[in-house]
Amino acid sequence: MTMPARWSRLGLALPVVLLLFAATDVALRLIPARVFAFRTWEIATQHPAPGAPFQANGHFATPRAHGDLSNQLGLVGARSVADLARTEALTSDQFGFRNLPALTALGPITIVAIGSSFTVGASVGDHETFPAQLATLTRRSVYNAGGIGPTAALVDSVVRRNRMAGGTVVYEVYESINPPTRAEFNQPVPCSQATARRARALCLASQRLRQLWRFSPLSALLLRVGYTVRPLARRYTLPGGITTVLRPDMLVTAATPPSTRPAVTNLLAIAEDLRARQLRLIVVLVPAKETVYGPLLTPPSMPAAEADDYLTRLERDLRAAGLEVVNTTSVLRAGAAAPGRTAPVYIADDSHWSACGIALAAREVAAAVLGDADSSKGPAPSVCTNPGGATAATTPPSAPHPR
Amino acid sequence: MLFNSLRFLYAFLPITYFVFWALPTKRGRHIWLTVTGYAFYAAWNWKFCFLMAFSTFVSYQCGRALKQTDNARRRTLYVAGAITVDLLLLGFFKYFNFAATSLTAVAHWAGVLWHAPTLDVVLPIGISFYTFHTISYVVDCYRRDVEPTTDVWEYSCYVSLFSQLVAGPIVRFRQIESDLQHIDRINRREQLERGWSFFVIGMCQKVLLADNIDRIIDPALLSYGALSTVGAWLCMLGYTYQLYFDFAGYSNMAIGLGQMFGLRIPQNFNSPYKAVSIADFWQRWHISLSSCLRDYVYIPFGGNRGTRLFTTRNLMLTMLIGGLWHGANWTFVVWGAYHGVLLTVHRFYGTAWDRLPAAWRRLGTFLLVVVGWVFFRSADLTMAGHLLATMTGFHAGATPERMSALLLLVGLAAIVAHVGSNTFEIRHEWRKPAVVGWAVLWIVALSEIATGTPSPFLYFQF
Repeated sequence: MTMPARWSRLGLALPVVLLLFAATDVALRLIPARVFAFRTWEIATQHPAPGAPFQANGHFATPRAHGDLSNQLGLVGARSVADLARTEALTSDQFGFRNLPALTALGPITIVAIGSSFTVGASVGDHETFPAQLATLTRRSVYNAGGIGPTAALVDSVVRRNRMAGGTVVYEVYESINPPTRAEFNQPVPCSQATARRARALCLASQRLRQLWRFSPLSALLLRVGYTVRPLARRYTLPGGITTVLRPDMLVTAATPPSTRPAVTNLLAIAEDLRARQLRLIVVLVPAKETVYGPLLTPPSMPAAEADDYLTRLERDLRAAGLEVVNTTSVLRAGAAAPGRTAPVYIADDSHWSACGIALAAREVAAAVLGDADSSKGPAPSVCTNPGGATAATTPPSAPHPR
Repeated sequence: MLFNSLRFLYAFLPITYFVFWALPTKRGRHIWLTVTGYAFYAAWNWKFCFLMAFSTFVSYQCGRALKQTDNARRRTLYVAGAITVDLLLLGFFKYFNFAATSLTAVAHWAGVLWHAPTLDVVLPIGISFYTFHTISYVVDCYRRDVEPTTDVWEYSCYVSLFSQLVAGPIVRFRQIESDLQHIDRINRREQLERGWSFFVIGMCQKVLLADNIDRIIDPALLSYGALSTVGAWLCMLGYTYQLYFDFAGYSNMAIGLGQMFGLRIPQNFNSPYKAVSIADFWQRWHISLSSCLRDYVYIPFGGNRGTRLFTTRNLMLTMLIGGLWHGANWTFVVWGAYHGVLLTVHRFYGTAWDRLPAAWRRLGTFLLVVVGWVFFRSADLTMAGHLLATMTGFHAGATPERMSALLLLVGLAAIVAHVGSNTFEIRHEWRKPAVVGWAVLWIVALSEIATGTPSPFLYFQF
């Protein structure tokens, strides 16, 4: 087959490739996301409600879901954790946040949980999320407003919609995500500032258009191919012979420790803004999976004190600044170090905490909310002593995984 | 906005390109290139567009004033005024905090507990580059090397030209003056072929080589204290090629984009790692900067007219300024001083060096350059010292993750950098198999771009 002369021109061939690439991307977007998605998250976030992480009033289920780290193992590596595939479901409320219809069964909402995907709950059931377990422990209704960059507008809307008079904001801060600056926290709601009706309609239309481009199946497919060539994650063996997937690049200690100053400054400003709204702030520090498991590897990737360094300093500085803080690192490390007695605290093929990890952290946070230090003590939560009940926990290679 | 982003490839470039060619007049094209230049800059931070406009206005007016007078005193006054304004802007945004923290450190060292005030300012991207553009223009007008333009759009289009705006090459007005004046008489097809050829080569250098090397060495250098001697050398070799292909890639893309719009941007890299001496290296590396430093710093200082001591002083000052131009950090000052010393030694004792076989000189020059990059890459002098100590001793320790991939990439990069022809040596007349090959690499590069956040070019920070 010979190529027509004009195709041998780079000036034509390359723009045509560019166009074909775009056409493929558009065509693949017409196919339902569930065909390409490897977990419920991708499907639920495809058409999110305005100002929310998920589509409103949805119940999304994936029969064979995998963790995010399983994806980062690449196409070949993912097969080694294929037996961890599980059924995953996610329910969203009318505003596009992960809440069950029976949210207010424990009375009016008095606690709002904001933060990252750790708050939302990734690869855990609707009843196993951090806000859901916190509600059970505190006997108070907790609104799950996680999954989207926390802003004053978000808190205000939750307070207004639920007619909250005061209450508590539990802000989960993941180790490698800095809290927003005061300006970012107080940024206006997109499209609400446009006064003219036409301008607002235009703004909403452009927002809708942007949403259409949120999930690109082509990018997802190419990413998987990319991870096959250069996997980001790797399988590691923990004491007791159990395996889990970790990211090697997160198992190193930076020669120059990151400063806690930006996080402290930002959280102080947020606390002040919330206080003006009669809301109490409790900061919950959540370590990365590698911070918890790194010192437990043989040989350890780093000493425990070194791994915990940033969060320990952050906790100390936040307390010195007068903020209420719960650092979940030690309780999760203790849970992880006793795999024989409890279920693992992070999901084997995912970077997020498991139902057991959430239960251990929620107990600490509940004690802080109730002001009762004793309530964090006691026997291990049932979800930890009954690993079979926990969703997709770290699994011994020989043990059959619950399906 | 980055050249290696989907926003640029699918929105900015096609709109700019098709509107440009649809405009029939010279003025229309100048205005359009100015508008798109500002839009390109505003995508990063629109507020700093005013700063660029102000700098453009001052230098343009200075050019006009120089055109209208032959009075030597006035001419000196005008040019000094324009340069002072430009340097004040650059000094305020880029060097104020550096000076303040250095003063504080000196005061503490002297036992005085005093803190110089620092400012919470953002460094406007590309300020070092467009400041050099405007300064070179007023100096060239003053020296009567160029005829000051009276067309404000032609001049503003030169300063804000998107292809060279944020990371160079530092194009002097006289180098593209003729192209700007004949911008309405260019052959679109001819330019397009050559432009895409440069662009795709640059894109592959950046996205496939530089970025992939960076992904491996960056996490390793984050914990440089744990590196072994082999690990440290591998990281620095990786960085040596990463820096070259990142910046040469950007320059090639800029040259290609310029070609698409009928502007011939001069060569910026001439296979620098093939250099046989440090002086040769500086004639091949970032040519637009080194020639500017020569013409606007070294020669005005007196150049090599005078005693050895005088020449040494001039060389050292020029290289220190060159180092400081790259960034407000002592590591860049030391890097500049290091190259100043090497150039001085070569100038006075180069004959012995030149008697060595070419292959040895090439290897020696390359190793000296690699050692210099240690200062360039390090966040501070402690890191530089630690890395140099690791590289010069026999230390056990860690090696970067994915060593085999790093070795493969470094090997590939070495072949291209040391053996391959550079973009100004090849003819850019591709046969069908080569076009297919480039199309495949283009798809791979697009896939890389589509699957991640585009990685910024290293020279953006300067």
